[in-house]
Order: sequence, then structure tokens, then C-alpha cells
Amino acid sequence: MTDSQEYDIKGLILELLDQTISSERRQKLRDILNSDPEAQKYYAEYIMLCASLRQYGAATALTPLCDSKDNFDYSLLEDLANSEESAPAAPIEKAVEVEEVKAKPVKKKRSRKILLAYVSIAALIFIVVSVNNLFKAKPVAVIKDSINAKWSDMDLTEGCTLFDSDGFLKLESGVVKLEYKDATVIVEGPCEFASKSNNRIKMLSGSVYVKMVEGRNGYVVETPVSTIVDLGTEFGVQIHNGNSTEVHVLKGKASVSASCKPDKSQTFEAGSAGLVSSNGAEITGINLDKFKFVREIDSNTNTISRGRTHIDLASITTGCDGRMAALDNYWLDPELGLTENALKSQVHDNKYMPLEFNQYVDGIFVPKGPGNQISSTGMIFEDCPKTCADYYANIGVNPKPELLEVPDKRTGNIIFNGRDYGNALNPCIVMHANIGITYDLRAIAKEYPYRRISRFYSKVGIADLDEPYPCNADIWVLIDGQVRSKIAAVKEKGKLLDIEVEINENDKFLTLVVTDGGDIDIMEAYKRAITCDWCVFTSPVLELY
Amino acid sequence: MDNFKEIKDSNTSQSINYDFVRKLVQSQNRIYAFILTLVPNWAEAEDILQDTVEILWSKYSKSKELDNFTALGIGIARNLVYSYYREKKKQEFLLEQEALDNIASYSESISQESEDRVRILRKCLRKLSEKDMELIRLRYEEGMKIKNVAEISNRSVAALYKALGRVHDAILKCVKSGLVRENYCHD
Repeated sequence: MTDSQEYDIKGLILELLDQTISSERRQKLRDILNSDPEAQKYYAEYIMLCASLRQYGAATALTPLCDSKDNFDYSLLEDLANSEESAPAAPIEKAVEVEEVKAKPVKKKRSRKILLAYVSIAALIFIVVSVNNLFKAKPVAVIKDSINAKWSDMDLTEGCTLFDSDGFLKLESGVVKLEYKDATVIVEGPCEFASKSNNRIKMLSGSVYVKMVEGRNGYVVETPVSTIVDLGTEFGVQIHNGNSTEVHVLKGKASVSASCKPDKSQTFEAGSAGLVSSNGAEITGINLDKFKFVREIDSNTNTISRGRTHIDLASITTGCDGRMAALDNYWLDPELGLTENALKSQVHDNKYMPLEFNQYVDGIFVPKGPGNQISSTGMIFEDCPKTCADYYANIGVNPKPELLEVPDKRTGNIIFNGRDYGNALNPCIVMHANIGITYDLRAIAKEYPYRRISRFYSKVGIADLDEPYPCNADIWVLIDGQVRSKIAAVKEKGKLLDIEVEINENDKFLTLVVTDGGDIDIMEAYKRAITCDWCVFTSPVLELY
Repeated sequence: MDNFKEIKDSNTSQSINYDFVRKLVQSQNRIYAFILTLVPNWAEAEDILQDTVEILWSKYSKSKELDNFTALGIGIARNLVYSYYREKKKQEFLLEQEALDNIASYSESISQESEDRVRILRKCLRKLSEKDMELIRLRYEEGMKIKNVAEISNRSVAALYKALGRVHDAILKCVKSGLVRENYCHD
């Protein structure tokens, strides 16, 4: 069957079913069907589609909406059967060119009317139970975008409409962006929810993030234990096992009421969050987690954004995933691994120290000269300058001042430009020369699917711990063993400098190294090549694209 | 299922057999669609469906146990259609026997996928634009003929046939691709 025949046959079938087909065109259809098996097959499929649509449509006019087959009221059968019995005969539209069907003899055993009732009843139940009418349902939302969405028994893709009669939909995994009348809602699987209207969603489990159209409000999120009403805002809702519900407000305000005390609502403002207890009786304030919810998705670039633009490298260094704040007073010894000591505990053998307990940090080392191993895979720092091959302190994250302090000789506070570093707000990594650390970029990237690590950025400087001796250090940033950035001969304490490198998708390892600046190394106190080289990376991050 | 019991109809003193209704629920649309492919006239197809149900009931009331209710119904419907054509030799849409047999076979084959097609059809209807959905609604829910739709929409009959053909085509392609994805598609 050619395209033009297919085009012809569509029109011919529609005219035939409408009984507006002319004799000439009827003959044309007959000729096509009598001669072309492909056309016969197409015709059969097309007619059956029309039949399905007709059956839905006809029953729609009779049937109520019903969310679930369990709700079907079978007493309707009796009512319908009775009405079929007592109703006057409906006029049947006669086909234009079809003769009367030969009358069948009246069956004695069973009246034809009751059989008509059977036919109607069967059609009715079929529609209500199986089809869940779409014609009468109100459209309430449209799927604008999705990434890796897997629905439990549907295949809802971009552009699909959600209806108020859909009942609960189960998004098993992935993320979906829905557009309601006045709100964009991001649903993150696993999540079970129903769109009750164009400004109301009812959740049984999972997480959603609601962004109102500017100037609009009134969108409602219902959970088993709470009702959240938007007051012109952006907020996220997460239901835990046991139904306790977290509400995090990022913009504007939201009113939260617990289901058992609906008259005692609390208003949460931007930057605050609340927890509704699993019994629906209490609402308590909790810390806001502004990166908890997926706030935007873009399937074109396969990106999911939780509002985060960077990974906290101090957090990564302590084995956290870069979202949580870094652990405080965390120390890595190039000889012993994890330690509680700030200062070197024994002579180092200068071997590369893989850190198997930290999935994001490949290992740590003491740089001694060209050809220094800097990764567990055997990568080499070819351009490593010759150093005194010794180190003074372990690598520290957010160190406690008292561990650095030496009474009357050295303070322990890390301060740059009047700001204290070494806390959740201003994290830092302390790397006293000579020392290096290598991060496994691929392991880190796994924590951030759909995004790409695009850049390392930090400010770096030599901390001024009130020691009356000079410092001199070289600061290096390597990607896969290649020097990408170097700040040579840092001799001024208390001054922060920018350091950054671009990172590509194929890059495997990021290495930070601090060397002694090539000073003459005299084995006396404060005359070592490494003396006072308290290098500090402040707020180091891996930026995400 | 408790609801499927036999009760007395107060007006007729005849009983409604709910087990029969249940079987009919599962089969009726497939049988009707099958008939419509062979007798492309809504009213006549419904008449033949009722005749089919009558015969099915007759068989059911004798045996109470009907194996493969749908296949039996389609078999009965096929015979009734052929009988219908024998009695209506002047009917202009009478196809040659071979074409009729082929269409019957295709329809029977397609009807076996009926449940999958219905499920996929639901998804496909969601993908229609509001305008296309309205056209389908007027045609199939309101039961309007194209010329009536043309009158209320100030569009030409030809344009609407074209539009309806396009929408049907889109739905059909969507259903077929859905079947292919689910490995149900027949050659």
C-alpha cells in the first residue's frame, strides 16, 4: 500500500463509518480492499481503533468518573437493567444505504430486551472498570520534562497530560517536571502521588518541590500527616517511612498544618523548615537543607539541579559526599592514614599511601622530587621539584586550634582577612609542606549523576600562626599528574590567593601538593626548608556544571 | 465475586445472570470491534452484536460453562456477518469473500491484543493536544458526525476529515509503536 493509498483509505473509512461516503468512493474503497492485503490489514486496525474510541465515548456519556475498579457499584446493574426494560424503544439511526436487517424470531425463553440490557451493562462496566474514562476527566497537569522516569504501570512521557481521575501514580525512579496551572512541581522517584486538581497534589510517599508562578499562591500539597499551603513560594516536601513529613521553605512562605490539629497551622518562612510528626500531631522546627530537593531538570543536557553549584572538597577529604559539611578536626597521616594527631608522628618512608577507607581520596604522599608517585594507579608527578623529602604536619581538615597551638611559640587559629577558617561555614584543608593529596574524580562524580565536575577552585595562602620565622612554599594543582596550576614561592603569610583549574569529563585524579619552595634545609628548629609553611586551602570546591 | 449473583428482575420476572455479564464484560468490545471491521456501520454492527449475545446466552443457559467465551463469540459473530451478507446481496459494500476472510482473520488477530491496545490507547490519548482531544471527544463522546462538527466549529468538512484522519493516524501509530515496544506487535 502506497502512502497515497494509505491517505485515501483513511478518508474513505471515516466517510464509510459516517455513512457520508458516495457510491463512487465506496467502490474505490472496495476495490482497494479487494486487491491489497496490506490495505485490508490497515483497514482492520483502523476500524478497530474507531470502535475502541466509539465504545469509550458512548459509555462516557453514561458513566460517572471512577478512580478505581474497586469503587464500581454493581447495584447499577440492576438499575440499568430495569431502565432498559421499561424505557421506550430508542430510535436507531438507519444507515443511508443499508437495508433493514431481517427480523429475528422472538425468543421465548429470554426477552431481547434483557439481552440488550446485558450488552449495555457489559459496555458500562468495561468502561468504568477497565478504561477509566479520559474524555470526561479534567486535565490538571502536563509533563514538561523527565529524566530516567520509570512509572509502575504507565509510560508517561513528556507532553502527556495528567487527569484528575488518574488516581495515584507511582513514579518508581527518575525525576519528572509537572506543570500545573500556577505551579511547577518536580517529583522525585520513588514517589506515589495523585493530582487532585490543577492546584493540589496528594502524596503518599516520596519528595516533591513546588515552585509557584510569580505572583500566584494557593497550591496545596497533602501528605498522610499534613497539609502544606503555599503562600507564594518555593518549598520542598519529603515524606519519610512512617509518614513523618519534612517541609523546607526556600522562598516566600508556606503554611503547614498537622492532620490531627488542622486548626493550628504554622507558617514557615524562607530559610526555615519543619517536621510534622508521624502521628500528625506535632510540628517542630528543623534545620533547612537547601540542597535536599531536585529543583530543576533538563533532559536535553541530562542535568538535575538541587540548587547546588559546587562540591565541598573539605567534606570530600573527610569521606563525606561533598553535600554535608566536612568533619571537624580530621587528620590524615601519610604514614598511618587516619589519625588524631596534627603533627607528624614518625619518619616517613616516602611511599604513596592509598586511603582505602575513603572512597573519594585516592591517597596521600610526601613529595620528594621528580617522578614522585601520586596515585594508586602509578601516576607520576614528573615536574615535582626536589624537596627536603620531609614533612611536619599531617593533612588536616577544620583543625582544632589547640592541636596546632604551641604555647608561647605558635597560635592555632587560622585567620585570613579577619575571618576564622576551620568550621562548617568556612571550611579549610591545612597542608603543611611537604605533602600532597590525590582525589579520585570519578568516585566523586558518581555522587553527582547528571552533572559534570567542571573546575577546582579555592583560595590558598600561608596561615600566620604568629611564628617569627619566614615561610616559603610552592603550591601545585595537578590533573592526572600534569601541572595545571602553580603558585611558586609564597612567602607572605596571611594573604589568600586564587587558585583554580578546569576539569574535563575524562580527568581521573585531582592532586593538591605543597612543597617547601626549595629552601636550604638545616636540621635545626625553625631552619628547616619546611619551616612555617602552613599552607591552607580555604573553602575549596569542585564546581558542578 | 459476591456481586455476580443471579437476581430477579422485578419488571420481567426474569433474572440477571451476573456471571454471564462478567464474561460479556471481558469479551463484548472485542466482539463488537471484530464485527465492525466486517460491517462498517455502527447500528448494524450493534444489531449483529446483540444477535451474537443472544446466541451466546442461549449456549450459556444450556451449559453454564463456556470455554473461551471471546473466541466463541467471535466465531458466532463471524457466522452472523456472513449470513448478514448472504441476505444482503445488494449491499454495496460487499467485499469479495477472500478479502472478507482476510479482514476477519486480521481483526481476530488484533482483537487478541485488545487489552494491551486499550491500555496503550489510554496513554496515547494523553499525548493528544487539547484541540485534537476535543475533536475526538465530539466525534466519539458526543457522537457527532463530521458535518455537524464542521457546523459548530466553522471549519470545512474536508478540513475536519483531514484533521480527524491525522489524529486517528497519530493514535494508531502511537498504539502500534507501543505494541512494538512491548513485543506484542504482529506482522
